[in-house]
Amino acid sequence: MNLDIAIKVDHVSKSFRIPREQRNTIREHVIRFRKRMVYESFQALNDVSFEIRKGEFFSIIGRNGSGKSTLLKILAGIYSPDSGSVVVNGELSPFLELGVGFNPELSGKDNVYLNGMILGLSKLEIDRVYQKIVDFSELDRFIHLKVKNYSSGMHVRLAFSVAVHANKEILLMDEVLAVGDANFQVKCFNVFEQFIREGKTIIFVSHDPGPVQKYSDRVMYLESGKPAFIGRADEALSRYMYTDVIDKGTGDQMAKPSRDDSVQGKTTVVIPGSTGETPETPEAEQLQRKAEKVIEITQVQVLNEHQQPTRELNHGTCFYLHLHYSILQSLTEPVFGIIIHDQKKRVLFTTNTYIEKVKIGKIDPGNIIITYRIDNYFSTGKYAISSVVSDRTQRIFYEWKDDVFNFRVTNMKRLENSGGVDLPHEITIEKNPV
Amino acid sequence: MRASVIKNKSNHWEVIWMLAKTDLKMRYQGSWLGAVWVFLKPFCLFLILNFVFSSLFYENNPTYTIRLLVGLILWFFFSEATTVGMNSLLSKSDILRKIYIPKWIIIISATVHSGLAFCFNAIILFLFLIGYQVFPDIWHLLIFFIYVVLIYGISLTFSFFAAPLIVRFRDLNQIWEVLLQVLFYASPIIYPITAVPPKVQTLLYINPMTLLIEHSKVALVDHSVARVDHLLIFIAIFIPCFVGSMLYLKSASRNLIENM
Repeated sequence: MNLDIAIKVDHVSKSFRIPREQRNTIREHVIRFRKRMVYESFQALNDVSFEIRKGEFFSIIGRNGSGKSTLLKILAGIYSPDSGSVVVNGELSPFLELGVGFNPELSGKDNVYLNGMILGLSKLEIDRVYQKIVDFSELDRFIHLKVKNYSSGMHVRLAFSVAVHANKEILLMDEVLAVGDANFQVKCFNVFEQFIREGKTIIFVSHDPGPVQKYSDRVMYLESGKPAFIGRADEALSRYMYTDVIDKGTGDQMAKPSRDDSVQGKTTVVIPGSTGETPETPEAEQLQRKAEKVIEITQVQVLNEHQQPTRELNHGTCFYLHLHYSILQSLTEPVFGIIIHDQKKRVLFTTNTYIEKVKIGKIDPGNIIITYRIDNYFSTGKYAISSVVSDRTQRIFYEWKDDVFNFRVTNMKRLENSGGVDLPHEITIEKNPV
Repeated sequence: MRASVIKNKSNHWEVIWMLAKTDLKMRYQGSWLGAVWVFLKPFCLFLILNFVFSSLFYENNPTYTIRLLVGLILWFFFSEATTVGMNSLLSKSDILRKIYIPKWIIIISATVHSGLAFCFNAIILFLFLIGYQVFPDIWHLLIFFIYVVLIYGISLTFSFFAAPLIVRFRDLNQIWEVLLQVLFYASPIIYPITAVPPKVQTLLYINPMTLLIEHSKVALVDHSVARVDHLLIFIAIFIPCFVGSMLYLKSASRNLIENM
């Protein structure tokens, strides 16, 4: 294997058999001996392949049930894949959860040793870093206290301290960063950055776009057990959040019988009127934009409330976005959408023609202008627009372009606002209510 | 098809000892008599059985008491080790679900306590042997040690099979409890093997503990070596069983955690 590769995941699939009825005792097995066990199969991972280079910060994002945790557990060796292989090149320290094996009846010190050994350290190694662990956790005074008497914050601090001192080449992290108070979080991020500087390979699973955006070299977006995208962080995040919004937006349709018969609540968007003949999209199409262009964004304009082109918008007014596209091949019911981010890449707003139930129908080659009229509730600051055009299932992206236009919002009456938007609101106070 | 390869250097024995130590602390914390229970449990039973059987049936056999003690202590070792070994994976499921640890580590660390308890009890046993003036020489002690190792071996063999199985069949616990009762009476503990007709003796030898207990009594009390050929046959059967149990544990471990 190439020595630059830290982890190679090759066509890994994993499914779980979920019995409709639980049979845990022999009696139950005997009574229902003749009846076959009825299982539902849930495909948690479906033919996942990717490689992680040494020293890379690789993030995995995806919704609940998309297979993130299963993948991480396979990487950690807790689950075995049904098919395919995982090769880990180097020592790996999994912190899927902090404080594995912590025993509340033992003292903090004993738990440091216990947890450290479970994480793969030898006693000598722990002896060497023990004082560092204690210092880092800021629990010097309480280290001989039984862990059951710790507050949850202390508990987590101790566990995190042990974990970061386990010091392996490859780290698997499952959302362990959101621990402790603000001070401790800063410390955690410092350690994190130190790991990155030391060239450790980090596999990070999170829902939090902040660190993913900030640190990742590459991001994998998992969707229903398949990598829907591997590549740049902003694009993966946009897709993740964009589809997230779409799914929530169509929540009312989720109750309809879905074509998807797996057990978990599924992410498939069921389009009203669709007869279920939606063609299965070849994987290649999902993984990358179509090689052949079918549509292209040609021009973007932002107009203020007086329909004048501008880049400066006044808070509290309305504005118009004109997105000009040139259609190269005829499309049936495409979905046009936008994402507005702030400078920190936080997604503030998304919309599309599907959510808004705009009838589009068939479009022949030519030009088309999509106009969005938006009430300007944005706070003072700079914003960027991404343009997204997809098919009606929102699974094939015809075009996805980030930062097609930037605009600035000024003239907000209130200066103090750390949020991304300033919504019209009132505050009333009632003293000594009856 | 291949599972994950983890190249972490092995600190397995340290982990085993650490888990076992934690286990020990947990077991005796908040208990007044603490580790004394290790002696008390078998000795209470020993006193009762000795009172009932030696005064009723074996009044004219001076070594009955010491033979009973040998059998009981070995039996306690076996029944403890198999019971905790069988339940070990299930009881450590919180760790196993979060991190990769070879399953045999968990099973062995669970049985460490039984081993230590046996050592303590063996000291008492040796005091009795001295008291009865039948303390064996070093060779017979060594032979006894082989039997002890074999008892631990069959306990592990059983645990390697039972620990993954109990995850799917939880009532294995209850079944084993009953079976242990049966095996207790099917082992020459409270009676000498010669007390039963030869045909029944052959039947009793199906129980692996029969041979080990009987031979231990012979080594410790009579200072001789009983039927080496039997022992060799026993070992010849034991080794493939042990290897089989390790292979079974390995293959059963593949999809074990998700069913926990």
